[in-house]
Amino acid sequence: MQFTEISFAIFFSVVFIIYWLVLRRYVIMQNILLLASSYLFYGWWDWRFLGLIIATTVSTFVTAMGARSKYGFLLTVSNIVLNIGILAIFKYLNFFSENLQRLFNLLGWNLDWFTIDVLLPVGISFYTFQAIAYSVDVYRKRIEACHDPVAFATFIAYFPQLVAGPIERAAQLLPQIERPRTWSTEYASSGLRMVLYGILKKVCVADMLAIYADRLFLSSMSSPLIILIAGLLFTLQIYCDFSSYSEIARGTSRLLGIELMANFRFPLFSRNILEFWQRWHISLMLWFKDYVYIPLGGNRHSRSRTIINTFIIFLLSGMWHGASWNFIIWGAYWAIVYTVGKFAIGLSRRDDTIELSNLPSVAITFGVVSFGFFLFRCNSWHQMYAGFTCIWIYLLAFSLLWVITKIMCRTGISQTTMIFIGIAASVIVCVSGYFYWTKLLKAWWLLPALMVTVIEWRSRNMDYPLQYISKHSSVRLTLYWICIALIILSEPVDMTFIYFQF
Amino acid sequence: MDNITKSILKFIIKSLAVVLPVIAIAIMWYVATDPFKVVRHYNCYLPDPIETPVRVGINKGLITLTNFNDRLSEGYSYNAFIFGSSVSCYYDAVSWAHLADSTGKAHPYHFDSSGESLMAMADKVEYLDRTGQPIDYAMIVLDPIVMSANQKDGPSNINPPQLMSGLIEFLKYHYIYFRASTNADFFKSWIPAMLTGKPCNNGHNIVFEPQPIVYDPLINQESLPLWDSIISANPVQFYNRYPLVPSPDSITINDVILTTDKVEALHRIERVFTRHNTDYHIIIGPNRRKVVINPVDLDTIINCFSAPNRIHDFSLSKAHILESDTLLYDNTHYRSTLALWLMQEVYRKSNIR
Repeated sequence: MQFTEISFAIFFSVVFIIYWLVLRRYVIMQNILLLASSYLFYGWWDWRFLGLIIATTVSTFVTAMGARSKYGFLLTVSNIVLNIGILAIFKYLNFFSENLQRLFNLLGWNLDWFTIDVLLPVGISFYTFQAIAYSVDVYRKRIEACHDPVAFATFIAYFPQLVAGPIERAAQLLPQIERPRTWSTEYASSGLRMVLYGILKKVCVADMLAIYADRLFLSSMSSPLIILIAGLLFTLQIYCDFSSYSEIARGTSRLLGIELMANFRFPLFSRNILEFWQRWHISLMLWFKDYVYIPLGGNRHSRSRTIINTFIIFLLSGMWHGASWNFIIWGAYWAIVYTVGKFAIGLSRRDDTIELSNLPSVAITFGVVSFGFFLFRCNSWHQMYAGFTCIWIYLLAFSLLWVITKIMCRTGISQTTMIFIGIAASVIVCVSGYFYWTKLLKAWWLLPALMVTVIEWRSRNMDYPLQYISKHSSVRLTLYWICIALIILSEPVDMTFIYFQF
Repeated sequence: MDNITKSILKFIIKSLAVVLPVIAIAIMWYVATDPFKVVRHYNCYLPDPIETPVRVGINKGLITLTNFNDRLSEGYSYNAFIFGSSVSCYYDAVSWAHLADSTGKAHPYHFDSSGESLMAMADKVEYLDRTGQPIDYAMIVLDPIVMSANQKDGPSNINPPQLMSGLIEFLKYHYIYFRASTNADFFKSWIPAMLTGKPCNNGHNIVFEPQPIVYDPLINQESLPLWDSIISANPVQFYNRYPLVPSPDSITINDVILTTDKVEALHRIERVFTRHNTDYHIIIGPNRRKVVINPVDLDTIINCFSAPNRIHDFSLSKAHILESDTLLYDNTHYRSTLALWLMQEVYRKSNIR
């Protein structure tokens, strides 16, 4: 049951109506409904793995109850080991067994009889991390252990964020589950708007980008231009795909009166790579910072120790995505780039607003990010090798883009110039349309892509896209109708959200 | 009703008021144009390709069932049925009826459908049984590659409404066609076709019937006389336009594909045939890619029907026959000449026994 399917719309409508119209006054009943819905939602994917999520829930709940006792450390560590063990078995056992086989084959020992093929439960990387964070927070006395099993089970299995995050902290989510929810039309409207926009971005942009990105990654990657375009397309695809999921999750949760954290803050407009990691998959990076980086010492020790800690974080982040060498190499790439950026170049995080004048640094950062995602998506060593040997095309293309944007920012783009460019572009489109209109029809999805780009740019300094839109109801209504019409028009390409596989 | 409940209800109504107009327009478009001919009944689902070159691909199962009921209501009767996928479409039903019963008692009808899964085939056989149709003669045409198909829910292979029960299935059926006829991929082909009057498959999915099928509603038979004449006159021209994959040198034994639900489907068919005392044959045809049915699957089929003399595996015995291009329309569908030859082989062997 994906967020973009009609079955989810029907499922959520039923949950919403019962939740607010029937059970509004009874928090416990609302939580039971949420829990049942969450298990139904998860079981719809694969009922066989319900047992796992229940096991994680029970183990974490019980061990947290004793976290402040004299066996607290042991209980907490046991729970962490159990959850990491579950993750390791389901996520990494295939990888290790295959590589072990390859290693033994290289040494001349035949291990072909030893094969494991373990299915990966959906969302396992997310809910196990959420459970581990809770265990540690209780042990460290950051939060009190939850004594309500229903509320706790709901916290672990909460369906809007169960399969692809954000990885919520108990301090943020549990109190919202435990206390009565307050209805707010404005809050619910903003939630519905987030859902609508998220679905638009997924079905009209991400899925269409996926078609072209997949084709390029299935090709021989013989041309540097293909390597460049493949990286660009996949970067845009993964951003649109993952951020749209997070927006739908957040919007769905708002409709239930519960706020989830933002997982993306327009990372493709980042001005440097440090800022990128403040804006991309925020919940995961915060998790690694709080539960790995800081316990390892963070940046409190020597520079070399800080660099090692940084490397560990990025390698683990790569491995978190999956048991495959391309994810590990992606992690290593970012470890090197981040370290160089922070310690050699002296980049720093940025909290100021993103302006047009930042376009040159946005262009360069986008280039660095795109190459990383090219590695992330590679299907084979051959593709990775091709990528590394053609890294020059990324350098060339984005240096050129930097120069162009720098000139544009220096000279300033007058309104007249913009109008002139707009008219010229329209004439080109009309003329091409007249001669090649059937081919132009194939590129229909560029219209919603352009719309999404404009929305993202205009929302770049907001908490989420379309946080503030026109106060004129006719403008809002037109925008909603265009979104709904585009969603209806979306092509039935049947693409799962990318991060469901993690 | 308290203020909060009123506020929630107002929110729901307002949200529906925003969403519904757009959906209503789309539904009106779907009902008014009905490009897949699923909303209303039509006298003719497959018009002549010369008179109507722009023909949206219609679900063959829908054509089969609807046309069947129409013919019955006109007084026609049938007792001999060909079941299968689009591969069986080019088996000449009249020739087969004559082979099955030279006295002329067999009144044939094609009861096949595109991409037909074994489960859907069983549904059709049971439909005939349920509606009291005599099944005196039957021929099932299977293909090792097409047999792998599971029941799908796409516009070209979803079961038609005559085989459905319940409101949910009905709504699901129309939802599938609604989505199929209101998405951009459909319009990429449909708009140019409407404007130019020529079929144009411009999207990822094929919208228009690619073949110039001539349809005989009396026996629900499709034929391609135009293609037959081009192949006979100028095969090079034809196969340059519709190239075939090279035929491999050696055969490939297919994986075991008969899962529990497929085996159950075979049993369902067998039970109906036993009840009707049907004179049937099952042909497993050859294919261009020389994929041969797995011996385990062949044994399963034989065991299901307990009649080894009625199961004819040509995927192995005639694996090399489709090295010849001119016996094929495309990589999957062989021509009626080969189909006739296979049927003649089947009945020759049967008569010897």
